Amino acid sequence: MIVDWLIQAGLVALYLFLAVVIGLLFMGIARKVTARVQNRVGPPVYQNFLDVGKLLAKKTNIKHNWIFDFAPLFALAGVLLALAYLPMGGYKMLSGEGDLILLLYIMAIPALGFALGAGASANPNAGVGVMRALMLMLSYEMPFLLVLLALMIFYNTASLSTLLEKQMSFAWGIVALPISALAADLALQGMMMEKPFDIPIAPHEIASGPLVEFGGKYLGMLMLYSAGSIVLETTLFVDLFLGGGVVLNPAHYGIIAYVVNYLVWFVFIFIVWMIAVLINAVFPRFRIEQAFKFYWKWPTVIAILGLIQAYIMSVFMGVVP
Amino acid sequence: MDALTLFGIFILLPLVGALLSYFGRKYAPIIALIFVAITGIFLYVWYGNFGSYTVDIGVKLNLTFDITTWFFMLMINTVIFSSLLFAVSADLKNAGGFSTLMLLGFTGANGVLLSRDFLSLYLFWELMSWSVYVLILRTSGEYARRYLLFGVLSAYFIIMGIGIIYYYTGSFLYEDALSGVIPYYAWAWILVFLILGFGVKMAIIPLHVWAPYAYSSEQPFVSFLSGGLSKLGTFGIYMSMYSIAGVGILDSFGTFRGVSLLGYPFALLGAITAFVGTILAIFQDDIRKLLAYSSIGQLGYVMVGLGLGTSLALGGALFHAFNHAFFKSLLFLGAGAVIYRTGKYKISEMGGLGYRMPFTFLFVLFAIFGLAGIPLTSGFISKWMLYEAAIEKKFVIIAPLMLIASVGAFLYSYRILYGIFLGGLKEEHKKVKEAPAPMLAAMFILMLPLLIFSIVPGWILGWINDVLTNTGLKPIDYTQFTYYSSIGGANMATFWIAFMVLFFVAVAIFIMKRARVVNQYDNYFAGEAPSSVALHAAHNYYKPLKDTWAPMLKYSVDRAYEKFSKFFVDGFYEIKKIYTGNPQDYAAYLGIAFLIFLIIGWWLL
Amino acid sequence: MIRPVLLIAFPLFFAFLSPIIGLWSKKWVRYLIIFATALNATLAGLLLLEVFQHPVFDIIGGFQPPLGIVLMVGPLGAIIAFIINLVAFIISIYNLKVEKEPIVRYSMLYLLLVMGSTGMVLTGDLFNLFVFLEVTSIASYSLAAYNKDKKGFLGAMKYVIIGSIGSTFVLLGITLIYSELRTLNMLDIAARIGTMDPYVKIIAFTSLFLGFGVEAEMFPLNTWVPDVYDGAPNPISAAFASLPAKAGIFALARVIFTMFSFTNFLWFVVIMGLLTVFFGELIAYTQKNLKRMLAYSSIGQMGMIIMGLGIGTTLAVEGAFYQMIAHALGKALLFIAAGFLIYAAKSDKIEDMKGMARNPLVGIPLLIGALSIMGMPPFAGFYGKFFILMGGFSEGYYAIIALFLAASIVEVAYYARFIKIVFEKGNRVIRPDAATYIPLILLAILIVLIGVYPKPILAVLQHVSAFITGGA
Repeated sequence: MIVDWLIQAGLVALYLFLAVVIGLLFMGIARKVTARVQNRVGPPVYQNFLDVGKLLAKKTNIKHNWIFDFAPLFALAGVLLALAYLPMGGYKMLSGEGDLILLLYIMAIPALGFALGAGASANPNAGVGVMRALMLMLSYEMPFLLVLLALMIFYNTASLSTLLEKQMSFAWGIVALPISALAADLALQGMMMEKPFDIPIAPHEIASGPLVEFGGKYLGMLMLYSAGSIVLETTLFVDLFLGGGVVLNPAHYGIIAYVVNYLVWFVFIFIVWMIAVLINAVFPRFRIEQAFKFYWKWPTVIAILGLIQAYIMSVFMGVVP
Repeated sequence: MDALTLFGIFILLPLVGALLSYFGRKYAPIIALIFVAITGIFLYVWYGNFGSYTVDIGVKLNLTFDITTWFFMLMINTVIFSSLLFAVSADLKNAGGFSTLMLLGFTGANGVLLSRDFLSLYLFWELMSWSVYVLILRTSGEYARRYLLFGVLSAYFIIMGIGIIYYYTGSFLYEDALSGVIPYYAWAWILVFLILGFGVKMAIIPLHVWAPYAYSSEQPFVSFLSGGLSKLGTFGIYMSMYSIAGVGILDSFGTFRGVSLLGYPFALLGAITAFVGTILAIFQDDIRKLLAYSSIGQLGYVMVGLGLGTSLALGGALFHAFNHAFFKSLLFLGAGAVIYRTGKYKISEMGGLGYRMPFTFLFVLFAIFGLAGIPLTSGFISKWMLYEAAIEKKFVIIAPLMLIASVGAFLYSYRILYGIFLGGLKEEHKKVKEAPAPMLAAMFILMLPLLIFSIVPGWILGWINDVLTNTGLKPIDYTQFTYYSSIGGANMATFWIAFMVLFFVAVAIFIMKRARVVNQYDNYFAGEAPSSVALHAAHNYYKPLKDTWAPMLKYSVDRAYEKFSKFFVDGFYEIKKIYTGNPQDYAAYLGIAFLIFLIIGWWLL
Repeated sequence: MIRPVLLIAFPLFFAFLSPIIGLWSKKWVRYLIIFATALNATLAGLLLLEVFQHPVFDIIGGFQPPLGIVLMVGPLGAIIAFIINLVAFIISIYNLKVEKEPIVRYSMLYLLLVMGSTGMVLTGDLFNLFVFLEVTSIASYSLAAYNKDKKGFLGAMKYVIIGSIGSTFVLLGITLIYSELRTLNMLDIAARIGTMDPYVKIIAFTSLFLGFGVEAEMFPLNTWVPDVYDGAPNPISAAFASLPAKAGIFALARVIFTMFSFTNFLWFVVIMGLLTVFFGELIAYTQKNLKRMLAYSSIGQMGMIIMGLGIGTTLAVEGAFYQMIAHALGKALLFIAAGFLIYAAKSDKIEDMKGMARNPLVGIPLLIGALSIMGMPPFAGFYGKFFILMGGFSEGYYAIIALFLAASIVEVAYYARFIKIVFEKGNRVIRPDAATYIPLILLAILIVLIGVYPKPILAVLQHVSAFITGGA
């Protein structure tokens, strides 16, 4: 019993560690890719590992008050927690212990902690940045929640692990609900705060917004948080629409299935990430009102269409995955 | 226990307390506190000691003490206890009157919860209603007037419902309503009247316009009003729909995917209320108004649950009402503490108080977690239940409205946190002290249930389950640490363990290096700081959002009511012209009246 | 054994004693009326205890009914008489505030008003009822003009015109009944009403209904009310709302239930009640003058009582009687408070009274009175209103009750507006003197007592079932 628990915990820890590593790697790749698109050389792909190492090892750390400490603690703990509730490459981790709605709210913990720390810095830029981030959240959540609803209604489950099983046995979300997948990808761009939605951290306007006052270990931990977020958000999309990358049924193929699925999952999140990065590389930035209007207009309409599709298929046509 | 003991402890004792505390001067809240504590102790002792009793004061009051009553009493008792504890150090003007009225409201609330006949229900409902009116009157006559008008409207809606039942049964007893003599079309009227009547207390749109004003009164009272008394609306709707009428009658109107067609519109109304309340809360700069709109929005969620009426939804509604009682009282008390210390109530005029009032900040932060539904508090679980109840029934309008409203809740929550507690500390607030100990104690008491029931939801879900089964509904699916819907579930034990472990991981990384505290002034202005500049961006915080919503915000329910009432008042002036002041006209009226009476009399002969 | 006739004899005696006392000391005249009304109230209370089980008939002059004059006192009559005298006593304390001369005549008229109103309630004889109505009216006319200013005279003038038309109608009704039935004893009339020619009967009924409707402030016969209440001295306004109005409506109830038992007509009474409520409450909303506002509110309340009578079920009539008691107490309280407010603000406009009720000695009774009038528990006004409403529902008057409730919301609106102004932070707070706050507190205590523990009143009122079927 306890041994099982420990093995389980160890595996979760491994997956979480790998997720953060992948996140940092992705950040490096993104910098390189963006640079190549914009005809620059760009830093090496391992640059972000060096950055984090340097930041965490810094001797001088500055803070303004005790609430400031909330940011790195809640942000890192929260993002790891959220990752733990997300199946990665078919490995359920804790996703049997809590469903999509719980995950949705766990995802708010790091954001809220980050916002608290940023607010406590008493830098007006941080306050403005958080305001923009929250507004952006209200914007992209509208289509995203509708997409989630479409999925939950269609697959008749709120549990991510069940959702993966049903996608494996029936059809992947992107096949069954392509319209919703499109809306979700649009929402994802805002969720990851990539251009044209990098309004909250707009470096030229508000000096990186919420991040402005953080340095040293604070910034280091927040970079780890960003790395985790990338994996979290891309994985969420992959789990929802691409079957979580599960191509081999672990029940039949055992350990091999986990390895293969992990690799497929890695490829999938890489693709999702690359789409976001490429859009990011070529687009200018929206103003926040524009972002809000955009999200509550087209992606929402698309998401509603997806929802209608799911509703018709599930309620009127009686499709039961 | 007999009838008089029950009546004595829950009704007479607070009344005596009300009388005594009027003369208590400065110590009045303490006297009131003692009386509330005594009823609280009896509430604790008498758990499980349930029964029905009749008290005769000329009219017969049928009182029943059961798990439903107990559950609601528990929250109201705790909330008023904290509010009075807060009031002990709040230096209220005329504290005697304040305590008296609070206890009168408490008596009314207890009476409403205990009564199982319409006469006593109406009696105690009105008692509660006017004591709240007088409490608001202490701050503002106009606000009180708005409240009273809606309070009376609510009472008259209820009386219409009661009256129709009385027409058919000739009895005031709840249980007689189900004897089968009431046809189902009459039930539709009865339920609509009762739900609207009780809905006024829950500030359901469009009956909400009193709330932002009423909630701008003294904070210890408002915390009781919003946290405690608004739950009587929940109780009333719960009782009238599921106890007085019952599922059988609700379903006789036809069902839509297992949900009564009568309940569904109210669930939709609740979802709209949640959405609109939240959006309006985002734009408030006055902390009291912000919390008021937030309260409207949160009770919208409860209404959704009450309307949907599945066990999961009802459990969620009761649980959310419970949570709301605690986190909203806590927020109002936190706001009260800040207002007490600074004398300001505009969010943009504060800032940075979290560094001066750390405990207040922590308590408010926790309440905000509850409000926003962060899983660290039980606020999440109730919201979860409501969402899943809507999603498992595939309600594609209600569910997104609720979900997006809860995202909106993050926005106004952060406005409270940033505007008041974070950001730059104003020069004039440099000397602000932490709130007095009784206030902190009051807030701490309110925080505890939110934390405990988040770790062990099974306890409260057990009570809720008892309430549901006692009303004759299906039980909900839960264990000590877990709770399930038909489409999902969650385990709070796993969550807490994982969170603690990962939090320690973060802490471990964090404490490897020490940090030095640097004043933001020295940092931001590179050591060349002017003596006082507010480093605070809280003014007109969500302006871009407000701009985008401007075309919608020009419609106001408030103004619609004003136009409506103006139309009628103009009519009154027309009617007034009948009284011309001329005796000749008056004599003529007499003649005409005689003729009319005569004709009618002849006709009726 | 208390003879009901004492309740009429004593005020009459003291009324004529007061000029004699007045020769000796003006001051003692005021105390005389307090004493006289206190004595009367005590007697009425004792009478109430006595008639609790069965009605008492007091034969005057030795002739047996139906020939002789008889006082017929049932539990309901006794409790109304008791309340009338009790309120008269409490108002007489406030009378100490009346400064204008001639106080002797004032006291006389006041006692005659009490005596007339009591007599109207207690009498069992139709002609006697007319006599007492006339006594009440004449005392009222004089008292209405007592201030000797333009408002007072105009009010009294209107009152005289309308009141005398009303009295004439009463007399007409009595004549018709006597010409047909050769009797004026109420129970006798009730027993033989069936033998009456129906067309004469309807004219007689209509005449009496109209005649007493004037005193009972029924629409559209209540046009005198605002001017009179506004023009009269403050204690007299209070007395008008509580004494003759209640006597008038009791007489109306006697006409409807005891004598004619004209149950077909009841729905029309409900309509008239509703109209009275509507016009009273809606116009009260437009008033800027406090006493006029209270006067219109009084009309509204009387309309509610008329509605209760018209609904005619036991519950509703019980409610109507309860409401009579509550309204007598509540409106007396409000008029006394209004007297204080007008005195303090030196103006009768509501808007000039900012913050005048912030002294708790006035403020709390005022609030209790207003809440009681609005029908809030645990005050006296609650049960009456609730019973009337429920009685209405049990008869299926849904729409009428809904309209009535709408008018009630208007009532709440203007009372709340008034309360808002008088409790606003504003002028200096003025402390009332004992002659003002003692009656206020006494009335407030009564209102709360009746509201918190309605058992004694309801025990008396359970006799309405006998009353509406034609009993005493």
